[in-house]
Amino acid sequence: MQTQGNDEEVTALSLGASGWQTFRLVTLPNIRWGLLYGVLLCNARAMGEFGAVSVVSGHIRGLTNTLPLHIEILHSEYDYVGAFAASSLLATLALVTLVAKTLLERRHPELRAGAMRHA
Amino acid sequence: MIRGQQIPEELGRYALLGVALLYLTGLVALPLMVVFVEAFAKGIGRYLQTLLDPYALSAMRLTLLTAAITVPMNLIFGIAAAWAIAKFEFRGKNVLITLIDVPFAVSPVISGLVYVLMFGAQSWLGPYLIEHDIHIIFAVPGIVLATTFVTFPFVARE
Repeated sequence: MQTQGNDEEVTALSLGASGWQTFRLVTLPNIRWGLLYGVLLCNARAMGEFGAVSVVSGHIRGLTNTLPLHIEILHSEYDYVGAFAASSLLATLALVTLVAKTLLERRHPELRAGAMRHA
Repeated sequence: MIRGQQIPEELGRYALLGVALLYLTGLVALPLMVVFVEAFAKGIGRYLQTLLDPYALSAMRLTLLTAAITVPMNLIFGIAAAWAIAKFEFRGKNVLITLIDVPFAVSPVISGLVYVLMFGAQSWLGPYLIEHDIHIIFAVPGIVLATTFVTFPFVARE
């Protein structure tokens, strides 16, 4: 977003567009792929987050247990099939995210440059 | 003479490639395979049975619910933050940029602990929350909060 500057927005406003119209019709189309990319990564991390959730959740089964925490419980109960079965769900999610990310990067090479700058 | 130089160069390239492949196989591909092999170790019936366990289902539901709240929230506030940073000049802009990166920099366990210290029974908000029967820590709002905090930079940075 930063690299695009605000020339286009200024133009839109000077032609009489409202703030919301400018955002919806000018800014959003410009950033949509970057946004999708961010949402993808955000979702992957949100579903996989363990550390932060582990501290605040209290590990109440059936109430405040997320999938990563569920895996930990199963594993510590020696239910390896259960733990790995639940892990396979998260692993599949990760693979799907990776494929989607790769497809996005292939169609929009500028994202890769952006991702490397952020990393 | 020229051939003599080319062969070591090619060898070096293949050696590097081999090392990289070996490393990735051992660190990523094999563990990933183990997950699926172990999951189906006792057959597909047992696999489905553990996934359809009520606790497993409730864990999936909570994970999906958390993501369903977290992602839109970060989307809205992420766009707002990115918009403010990209389109305006203001004092403290660099402070804001640094703040957005904080969740990436601190350990997730600390991020969780911050909320326990803020909303837990021992915090200064604690007595108020208990009095009004508001559950944040060890309940769903706490999980959503912690997840939102940890994942905030993804949208804002892109």
